[in-house]
Amino acid sequence: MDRGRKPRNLTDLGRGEEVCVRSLEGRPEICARLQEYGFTPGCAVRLFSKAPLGGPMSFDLRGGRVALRRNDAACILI
Amino acid sequence: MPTLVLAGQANGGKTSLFNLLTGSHFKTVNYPGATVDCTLGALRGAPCEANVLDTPGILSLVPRSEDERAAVEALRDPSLLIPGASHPDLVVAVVDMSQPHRPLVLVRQLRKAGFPIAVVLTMPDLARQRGCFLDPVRLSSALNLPVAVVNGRTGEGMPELLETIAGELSKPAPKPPELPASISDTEIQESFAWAEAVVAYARAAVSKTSSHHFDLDRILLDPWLGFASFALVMALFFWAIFALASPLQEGVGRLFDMLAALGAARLPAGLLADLVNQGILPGFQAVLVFVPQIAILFLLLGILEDSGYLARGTVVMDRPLSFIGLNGRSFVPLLSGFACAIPAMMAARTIPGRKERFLTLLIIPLMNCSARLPVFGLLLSLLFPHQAWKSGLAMTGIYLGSVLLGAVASAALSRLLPMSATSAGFQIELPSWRLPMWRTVLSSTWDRTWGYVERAGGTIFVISLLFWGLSRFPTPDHSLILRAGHALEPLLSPMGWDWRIGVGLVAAFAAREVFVSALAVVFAVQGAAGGQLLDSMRHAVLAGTGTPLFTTASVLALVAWFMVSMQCLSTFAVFRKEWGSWKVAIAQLFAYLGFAWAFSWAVAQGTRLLLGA
Repeated sequence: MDRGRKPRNLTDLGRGEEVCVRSLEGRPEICARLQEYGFTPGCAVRLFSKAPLGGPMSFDLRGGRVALRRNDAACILI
Repeated sequence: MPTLVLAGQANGGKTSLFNLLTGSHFKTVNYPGATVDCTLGALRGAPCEANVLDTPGILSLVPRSEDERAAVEALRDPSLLIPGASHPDLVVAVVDMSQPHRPLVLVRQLRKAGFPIAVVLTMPDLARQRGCFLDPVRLSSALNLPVAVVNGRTGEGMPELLETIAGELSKPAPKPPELPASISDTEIQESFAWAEAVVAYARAAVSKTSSHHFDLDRILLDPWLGFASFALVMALFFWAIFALASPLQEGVGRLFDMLAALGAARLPAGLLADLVNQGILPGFQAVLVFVPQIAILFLLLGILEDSGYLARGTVVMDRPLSFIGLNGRSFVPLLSGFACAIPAMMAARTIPGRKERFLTLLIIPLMNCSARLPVFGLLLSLLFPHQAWKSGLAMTGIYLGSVLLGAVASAALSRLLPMSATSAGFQIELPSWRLPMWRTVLSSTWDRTWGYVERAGGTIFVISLLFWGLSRFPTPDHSLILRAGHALEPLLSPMGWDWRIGVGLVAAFAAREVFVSALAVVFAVQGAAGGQLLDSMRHAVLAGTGTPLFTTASVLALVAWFMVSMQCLSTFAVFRKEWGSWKVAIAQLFAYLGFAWAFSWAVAQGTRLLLGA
C-alpha cells in the first residue's frame, strides 16, 4: 500500500491542517483509548497547535479539543 | 430507597448536576478528572426519595485509570457505597451538548449493558453559542430514552428532570445489568457512526448566537507563548498568595493582641490566666495568622480549576514532566500539593500509567504544602527581622527548592525503581473556557479553608494544652517535657538544635504547623509573661554554652528539615490507602525522615563552613 512510502500520521500535520483519520496502528490498548476519544477511521481532525520541544499536540475533532503526546498521535494514520 | 447513579464524561457537568439534584455545593471544576471519588447525596425537591451517587468521569465502561475504575465499580455494584443497593435503579447519563459524540457512545454502551437510563443534555448555553443545540424531543425519539435539558449554572430545566426521574423510578425494577469485559475496536467505530447519525437527526436548526469569540488557546497552547504564559500564571499565583495576604495577616495579629490584652485585664492572675496567655492564645495565633494566605491559595486554585486553565497547564507541562519520569497529568496533583498533600494524592488517580502515578505519589510530600507556611514564616522572620522583601525572596527560594527536590527525586527514582514503565501515553480532553462559577469557587474556598482551621484548630488546642501542662509541671525548670526533650538531644545537637526544638519537631507529627504552636507555648512558659514569641526565640541560648539557639545555621537546618521530612500522619495514611501497601508507605515515611535528617545536617554544616563559624 502507498507504494512503499511510509504512511503519514497525525504528527506530520502542519498547524491548521485538516485531515481524515484512515486507520490506527500501535499498542491495542492505546489504539482503543484513542478511538474512545473519537479518533475513529473517517473522522475529520484539525491540528490546532503543537507544544514546543516535542510536547503534546492539540487537535480539534467532534466539536471538542483533545491533546495527545506525539507517540500517541503517531498511532493515528491519515 | 432507589439509587441514582450519575455517569458521563469527565468535565461534562456531572458535579454541577449533582449539586442541583442534592442541593449540596461540592466543588465543580473545569478540569477532566476533578471528581476522583464517588460522592453520595440525597435527592431533593423531587416527589420521590432516592440516593444520588456522583461518579468520576469515564470515556467507556472499560476503565483505564483508578478514577475510572471507581466509576465503573459504582455502576456495577453500588452496594459498597450504599448498603443494600445491588445495582443502580436509574443511570443519569450526562451528555455535553457542545460535543455529544463521545458521551452518546457511552450511552450506547450503558444501554447495551442493560442499565435503565435517563439522558441529561448539559451546557445548552455553550451549544446555542456554537449553533449545535440538540432538540431533546428528537433525541429522545432517536434514542428511545427520556431526555431532559439542564443548564448546570442556572438550574434551568431542573423541574422537568425531577419529573422524568420520578417517572422512571416508578417503573418496575430492571434486570441486573451486565458490564462488558472489553469492547472491540469495531464496536467503538460502529458506536461513533451511530452517534453521528443520532446527532445529525437531533441537531436543531438554530444559528450561532456568537460567531466569533476569541480563542484563548491561541495564546495558551501556542508553542512559545504557552510556556511564557504558563510561567506568568504560576508566578502571579505564588506572588498573590503572599502579596494579597499580608494586610489580612496584620489584621489577625492585631485581633490576637486585643484578645491577649483582654485576657490579661479580665482574668484573675493564676493558673487559668497563665493557661490562656501562655498556652491557648500563643498556640492559636501562631497558626491562625496564616489563614488568609491559605484561603487565598485555595481561592486561586479554585479559579484556575474552574476556568479550564489547569488542563492547558497539563499540556504545557507534559514534555518537561516526561523528562523526570512523570506525565502531564501529574501537574494538577503536584500543584494541589502546594495546598495539601491529601487531595493531591487523591487527584493522582487520574494518572493512568502505574509507574507515573507511583512517582507522583512519592514526590507529592515534597511540595511545599500550606501547613508549612506558618513554620517557614516564623523561621524566615527570625533570619530576616523586619526585612519583608528578603523573607519573600527566601520563601520563593523555598518553593523553587521544593520543586527542584521533587524533580531530582523523581528523575532518580524513575531510573532506580525496578518497575515496568509501559506508559499509557498522554491524552487529555481540553474543556471549553468558562468564566468561573463564583458561588461554587467561593464556597469551596470557604469549605477548604474552614477544613484547615478545624483540622489544625482541634490539634492545636489539644497540643497547646498538653504542652502547656508538660512544660509547666512539676516546675517550669524541671518540667516533664524538658526531660523528654533532653533524651532527643544527641540527634539534634549536630544541627545546633536543643530540646525545645526537639519537642516541637515531635509535636509536628500531629500536623506540621503545630511546631509553631508548640514552640510558642514552650517559650511562653519559659520566658517572661507577655513576651512575644520572636523576641524570646531571638534571646534563647543553648543551655551550658550560652551561644544563641537560633543561628543562621540552625534556622536554615530547620528550613531544610521541614522541606523534606514527611511529618504528617494523614499524608502517610492517605498514601497507604491510595497505593494499598503498608510496606511502601512505611518505607516512604522513614526514607523522608532519614533524608530530612541528613539534609538538615548537611545544611547546618555547610552554613557553618561558609560563614566560618
